[in-house]
Amino acid sequence: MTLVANAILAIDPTAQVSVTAEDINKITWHDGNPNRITAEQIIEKQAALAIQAEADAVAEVNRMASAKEKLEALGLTTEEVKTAFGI
Amino acid sequence: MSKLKVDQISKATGASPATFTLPAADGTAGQYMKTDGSGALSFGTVTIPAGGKILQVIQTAKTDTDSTTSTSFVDMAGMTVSITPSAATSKVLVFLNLNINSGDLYMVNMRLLRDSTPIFIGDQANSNRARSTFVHRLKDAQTYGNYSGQFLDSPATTSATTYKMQWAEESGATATLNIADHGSDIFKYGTTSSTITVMEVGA
Repeated sequence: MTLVANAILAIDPTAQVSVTAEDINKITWHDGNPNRITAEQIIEKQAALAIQAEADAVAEVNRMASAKEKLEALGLTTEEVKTAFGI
Repeated sequence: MSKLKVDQISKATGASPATFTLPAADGTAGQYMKTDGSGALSFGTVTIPAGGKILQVIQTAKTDTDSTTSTSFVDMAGMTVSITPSAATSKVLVFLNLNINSGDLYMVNMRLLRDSTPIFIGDQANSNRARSTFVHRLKDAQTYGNYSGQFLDSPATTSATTYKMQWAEESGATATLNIADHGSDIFKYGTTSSTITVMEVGA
């Protein structure tokens, strides 16, 4: 799960907060929360970022597989690709 | 029961054995026997030096997590410990152990304070650099930086004194304590604990 503070930063990149124990009820707003960010918004953003992180991870795996396939199509062996590129 | 009564004792062999004169009266419980260097024995009391004794030890162990996006120093929640020195001449030895993380290459400044006074920090260099106890920066949002240090303070008080940590994050990222900035809820992304310990050392 995305950190509460990271979710808040995704909503407001200038937010000044501290969060204890990853508890949405233990947020200290050092800037007074000028944008009135709510707990619901934070939870929603955490969920969205988690989905995005999962999608990013899948995309990275797919990019590596695609790169490996293209390198092998150029004539490199699987061992050579692994040695040279670590994939 | 037989009783041996002598005023002096001496080793039976040797060219010129020393002769010791026994004390006229017994000492008190726990005393030791000593010589004046001329053979006169007497009783003495062991004196333990007053300085350097650990008079009390207090520790706070923070096992939950904390995080901040603040770009100016704010308290690190829970990383605080209070001690009331028994004498104004006592020193306080502070031990720190922190597990810190942040986003890739983002910098975290940390400092130790006695009440509201920063201590164990660097001198001011240039005009804008933070004066810190530790500075964290790693090219990995999943690797902890472990920061440990000791500082001998002279609070010169017998009032309750609080030692605490503050931190500030570089703009645009989150500094974390006891948990990695990135990572999901699976085994390998472990959490940690951090401690702040104070010892009163007698003068």
